[in-house]
Amino acid sequence: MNNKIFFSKKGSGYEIGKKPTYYVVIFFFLTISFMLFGFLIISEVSSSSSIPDNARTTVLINRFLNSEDCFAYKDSETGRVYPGIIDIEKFNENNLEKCYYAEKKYDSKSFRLTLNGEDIEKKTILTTNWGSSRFGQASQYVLLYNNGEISKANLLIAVQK
Amino acid sequence: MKKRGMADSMLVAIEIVGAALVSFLLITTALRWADSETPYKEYLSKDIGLVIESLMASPGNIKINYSNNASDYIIDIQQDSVAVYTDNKDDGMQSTFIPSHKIKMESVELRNPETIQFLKTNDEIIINEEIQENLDLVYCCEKTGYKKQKINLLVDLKDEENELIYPKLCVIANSFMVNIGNKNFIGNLISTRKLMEKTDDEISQINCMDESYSIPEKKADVILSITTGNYNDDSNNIKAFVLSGSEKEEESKRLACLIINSISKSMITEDLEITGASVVPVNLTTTNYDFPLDLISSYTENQQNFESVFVMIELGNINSDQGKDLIEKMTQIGELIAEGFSDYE
Repeated sequence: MNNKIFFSKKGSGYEIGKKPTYYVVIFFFLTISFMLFGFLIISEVSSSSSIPDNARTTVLINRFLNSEDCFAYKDSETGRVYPGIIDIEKFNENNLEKCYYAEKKYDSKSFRLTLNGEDIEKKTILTTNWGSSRFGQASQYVLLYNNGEISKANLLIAVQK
Repeated sequence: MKKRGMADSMLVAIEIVGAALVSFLLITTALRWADSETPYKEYLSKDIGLVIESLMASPGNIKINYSNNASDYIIDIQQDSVAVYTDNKDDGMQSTFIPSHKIKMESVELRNPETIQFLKTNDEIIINEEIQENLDLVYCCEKTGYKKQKINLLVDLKDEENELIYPKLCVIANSFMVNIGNKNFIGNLISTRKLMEKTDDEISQINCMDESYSIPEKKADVILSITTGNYNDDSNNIKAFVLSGSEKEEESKRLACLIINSISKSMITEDLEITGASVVPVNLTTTNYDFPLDLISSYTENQQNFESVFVMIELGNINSDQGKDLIEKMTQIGELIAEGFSDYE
């Protein structure tokens, strides 16, 4: 092995001998730079194409409140659906399961809904994917249809990502 | 010394080539991503999924014109997913949305669509480049089991006090009677207005010159009352009133719905705006609408015991421009009412 190539001495082959170390260092930093560059691009792409989380949550909450498949009250005589009026008879986990497929493949959020009103007992229902992770929550005033009577109630909506 | 100089030069050259290569790779990669359609494809697939989820969250009928440009892509929408790609699915992006067990949605593949329209009517979502469906269509309940036999059909005309409108309603009624006669209607045509004399082979026609009103002795199985709306606004709604709680309420609703849809469907192609359409069940004791009360009370005092199918069709608003245009299409409206009637069984 020619030491001059790898280990230089003063005045003879110093620069040539230093190159391998230089290349190793450069290669190492270049690899990191490439990875960083790729990561930055991917995160940029992802952020530019993402839908704001709140937008989807709002749409899903609207499904609970406005759709007759979920909890919205439907006048059986006229067939009219009243968005925002919760039919107490529909407010149960069985109905929630039918109107909201809480499956991983749909990237479904987990919800815990607590209905509280003057004329009813506090009632909480959960989507099947509700777990023990962190959640954010908000409350919303709703109207409640109960045995032909309309009353005010509060819906506490907890969401897990 | 010379050899070492040559090796140095080569290394420098290699370094320059390497640096150029690395720079080229980084720049081209950055440019490729900057120009890349991948983020847009992903965005489109997610956004279309969100639009579908929004439609599923909405009661009533909605039509959405999608504003993002998707003309460079193939949009493949399945029951719970949206794929956006250029040539083959492998180069595309796919996202899912949460379906609804109740709302039907046909899978659709749109190739380089210039426009995308979403329509939700009742329990169905339709997606296409252009949708001609009319939002004013009313959801008609399933067949009610009522069989059209040899029935007595009574045609009732209102608005006789309006000299301009009554003759037009009379033409509508006569057009209706002629058209159901041509559609193999089996039964008797009777009216609260005087009928013209006819031979057995001829179809009954109302004498439009005679406004006298009388309740026929023969009981009607189906009563169709024709009137116009008189509202001081620009609305031009088509309404059909049925008797709430009556024995044939469901059958009446179905007939009302078929007649409304028949008119609404046709009017969209005529460029005539129908601002709304509805079937309205009414309680005669609580409404101030002008119903043919004499006629109804001649059958029963209590509307719950009313045994005939009853529909009072209100054709637009005569005070609006569109309503005036609507009523001018007299023979066509009569034909459309007959079409709705012939679908009824």
